[in-house]
Amino acid sequence: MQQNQTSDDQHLFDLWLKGDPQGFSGLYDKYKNRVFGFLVRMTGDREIAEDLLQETFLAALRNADQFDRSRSFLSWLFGIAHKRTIDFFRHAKVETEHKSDAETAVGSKIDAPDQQLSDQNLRALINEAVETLDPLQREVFLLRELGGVPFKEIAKIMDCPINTALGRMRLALKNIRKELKKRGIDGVQ
Amino acid sequence: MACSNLEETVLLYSSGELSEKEKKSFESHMSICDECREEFDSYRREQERFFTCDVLGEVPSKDVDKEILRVCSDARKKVTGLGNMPVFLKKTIYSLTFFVVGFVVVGYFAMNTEQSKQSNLNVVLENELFDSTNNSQKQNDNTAIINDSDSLNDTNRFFSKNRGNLDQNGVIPVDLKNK
Ligand SMILES: [Zn+2]
Repeated sequence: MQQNQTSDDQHLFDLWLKGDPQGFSGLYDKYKNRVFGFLVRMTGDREIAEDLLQETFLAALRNADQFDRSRSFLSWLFGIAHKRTIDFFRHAKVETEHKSDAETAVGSKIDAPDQQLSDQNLRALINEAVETLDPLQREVFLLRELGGVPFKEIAKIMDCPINTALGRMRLALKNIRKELKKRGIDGVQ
Repeated sequence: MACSNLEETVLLYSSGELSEKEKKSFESHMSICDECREEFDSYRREQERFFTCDVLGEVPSKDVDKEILRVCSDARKKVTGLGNMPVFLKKTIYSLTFFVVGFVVVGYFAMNTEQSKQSNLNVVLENELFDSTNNSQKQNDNTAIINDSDSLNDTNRFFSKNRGNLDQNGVIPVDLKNK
């Protein structure tokens, strides 16, 4: 499965390099929701995330020659998305503002608690739990679960030892479970 | 939790980052440790139900899709024959190639002219020398020079020398005259 995914991506990437528009649009359609989800949850702002999504794909296009084919394309793309996010926060210095914006935005989306747990509600609850995470835990969690990035690469991307990345992931899972329990979800049966 | 130090092993096992040996040894541990097996199972269920692209991903608007595809295809068009190299690098490579080829061509002709000038000068010097010696010696020397040119197999020099001698001796080529 993972092997097929990789060779599919390599094929689309080769088309992309040859200038075939199907290569780019293929990879874009396949991964835009994952990358956009990461950017929305890291910045807490859809508009900013839209700009960063464009920057991420543009940077990937411009640095296509730096893509190491032994790695997964999605991991590489998430590495670029991470850099765009860091650059954004460095330049804008609005991290705390957007974080609090995001919390209210996500909180307001949740429907009445006595309603049956529809997919839409579940989605809102999980994302609310993710939003409560410390940004470093949140990033490790999203890189792993949305980007499928291996811990070894997460450590490289976030410039920390692998044990730190693993520790952040453990805390992220613990905190998400705690938050979900508060909202009446006690694990998956 | 007795196996708390194995929580990280559960993560690495799930992400497929354990070596074959570590993987085997953790699997045999899970077969006897309920705690670790339960931790692994619940994480896997969470991944299947909670941590999916449908739940954590976001769909950009159609306008954003259109704009990104437009901007990226414009950027793509700027990339020409040399794959994905930056445009300025390609321009540099093209200009360098142009100049190198130019230098080789100009250099080749310049060297040719220089050599024929040098050869003409040699002939003049040689002829001055010949004038100071007697006729029979002159004949021998002249032959020697021609033979020398022959053995060097330097067509330019040989040609220039012949031409020089032709100028000196009218229309008869030197080798014919020697016959
Ligand atoms: Zn155990």
